[in-house]
Amino acid sequence: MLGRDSRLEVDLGFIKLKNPVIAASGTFGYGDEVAEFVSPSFLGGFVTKGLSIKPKQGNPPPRTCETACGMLNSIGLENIGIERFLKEKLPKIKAYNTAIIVNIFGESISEYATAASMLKGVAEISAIEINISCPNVKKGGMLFGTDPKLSFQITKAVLKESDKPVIVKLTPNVTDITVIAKSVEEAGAYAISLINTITGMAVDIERRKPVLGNMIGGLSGPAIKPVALYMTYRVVNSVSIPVIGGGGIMDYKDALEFLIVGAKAVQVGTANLVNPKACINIVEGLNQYCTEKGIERLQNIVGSLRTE
Amino acid sequence: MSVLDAKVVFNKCLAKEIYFLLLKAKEVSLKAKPGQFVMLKLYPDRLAFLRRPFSICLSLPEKDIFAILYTIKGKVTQSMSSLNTGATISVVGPLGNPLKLPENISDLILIGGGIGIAPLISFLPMYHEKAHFIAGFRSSEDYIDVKEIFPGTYEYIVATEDGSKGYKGTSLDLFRQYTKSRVFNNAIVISCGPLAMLKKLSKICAQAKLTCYVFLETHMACGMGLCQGCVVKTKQGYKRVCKDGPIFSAEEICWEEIRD
Repeated sequence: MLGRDSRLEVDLGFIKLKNPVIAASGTFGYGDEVAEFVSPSFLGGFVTKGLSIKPKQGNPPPRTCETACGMLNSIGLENIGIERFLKEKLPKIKAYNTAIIVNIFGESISEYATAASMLKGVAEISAIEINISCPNVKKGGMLFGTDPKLSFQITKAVLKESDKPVIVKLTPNVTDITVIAKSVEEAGAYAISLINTITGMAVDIERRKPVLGNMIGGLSGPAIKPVALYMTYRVVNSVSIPVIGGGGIMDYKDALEFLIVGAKAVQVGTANLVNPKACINIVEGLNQYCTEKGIERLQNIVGSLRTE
Repeated sequence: MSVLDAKVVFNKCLAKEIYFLLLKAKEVSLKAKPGQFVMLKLYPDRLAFLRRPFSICLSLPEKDIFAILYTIKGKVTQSMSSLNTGATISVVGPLGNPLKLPENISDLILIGGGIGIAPLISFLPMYHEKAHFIAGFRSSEDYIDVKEIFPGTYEYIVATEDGSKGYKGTSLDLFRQYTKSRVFNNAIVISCGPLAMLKKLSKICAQAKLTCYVFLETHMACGMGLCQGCVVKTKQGYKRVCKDGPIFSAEEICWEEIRD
């Protein structure tokens, strides 16, 4: 059955995925919306919309804007809060045969820790992803992810309050991403995922106003893929914990590029917005690639980049 | 809801820069309910990155066909207007929360501003016997004969801003005129058009104690409720136009916070 081909299996050490394709936070809702189109069971895993202790209403619209080969968003982490997620969403999504990764954020270190503690003991959750990289909120978010000390402290605080493996999602909006990567590894992160969106803006020349209600937003889509790939390559070569790479992946070929530079798994984000079947198409493509190239285990190509 | 490739059955220019596009897509035509929409993407897809939303104006499940009415606004619709019969378009849909009208309504007053008539037409197959269709256009140049798209027993009255066709004025002027001389016991108003028009209409209806629903349009990325990008401020907080709408009760919208 599709998605179950053993050639695609990934062992991240703390969690086994049936394939390396993970739907990224913020592009897959809470997992129930997209089920009308395609079963999330085909995925290696999916990451929920970022959740906070209390519901958050997000930024004023307009919140999205198309750009060359991509889009800007300034959603501002609108979410229903952890309590409602556990009560209303989890019962619907726990039946899916896939890894459920819950993305959390807060405005302070203690809020991150509290968010993590609220997920304690919930067996259906495979891992927590810490968002220290959202460019669209004034407090928290990227502020933490651009500071190696704060990144370290948040990772530590969450690990202390959590009984789950912890993945830290990094922002590309830094001078040297390997500094942050090393600090979260040192703090004990199980894995690193990257990249979140790149800060950007767009101007409406008729009104001479920012297109986005929040003025600035995060750039995603194929436009950022080369940057994401480069950063993944650099992080893979600076830490020894597993790296989940992504940024602008649209098809299986894009996914392969990330695997070849050393990511064990990939996150697919904006592609889901354009085509709800994007992830499933990537899984199919990877299967086909294995067949065509006679690859027995796709993980064998991870980090196989030939640099000479 | 499906993701599929649909074939163009025909793509005809009905008025200045306004086209009627018939697409063959069995699953969409079977499932579409009044007020729903589709997200479309042309091939090859280099023209635009995101899909574009279009209201379904008619659905003919017996022929596996659905129709959209669109106006040329940008590069995607420009390119769409040159599609020939047999061309392929990628479709996601039907999307949106369909409006369930109460069984006992006496009259359905549909008020369309320009291309805003498109989603209103989708109510005619079920409600044409109770419908009053009021449409406003700039001039006779962009006038669309809705009766040609869906013939029925409803009244179709038209206003143009320059008076070159029908009543001289806006659709709202005409609506005021039309309702002045009539008494409705259990009428519902549904409208689609420019934001400024919907704002005004919601006030008029509130004063006249008429139940009013409006179609809202915001910039959408996914159309499926995934990204929460297309929100509009309501009295219950932000709601997604794509998933919670696109039809909203005029009363629940925080009109003063919407920029037009």
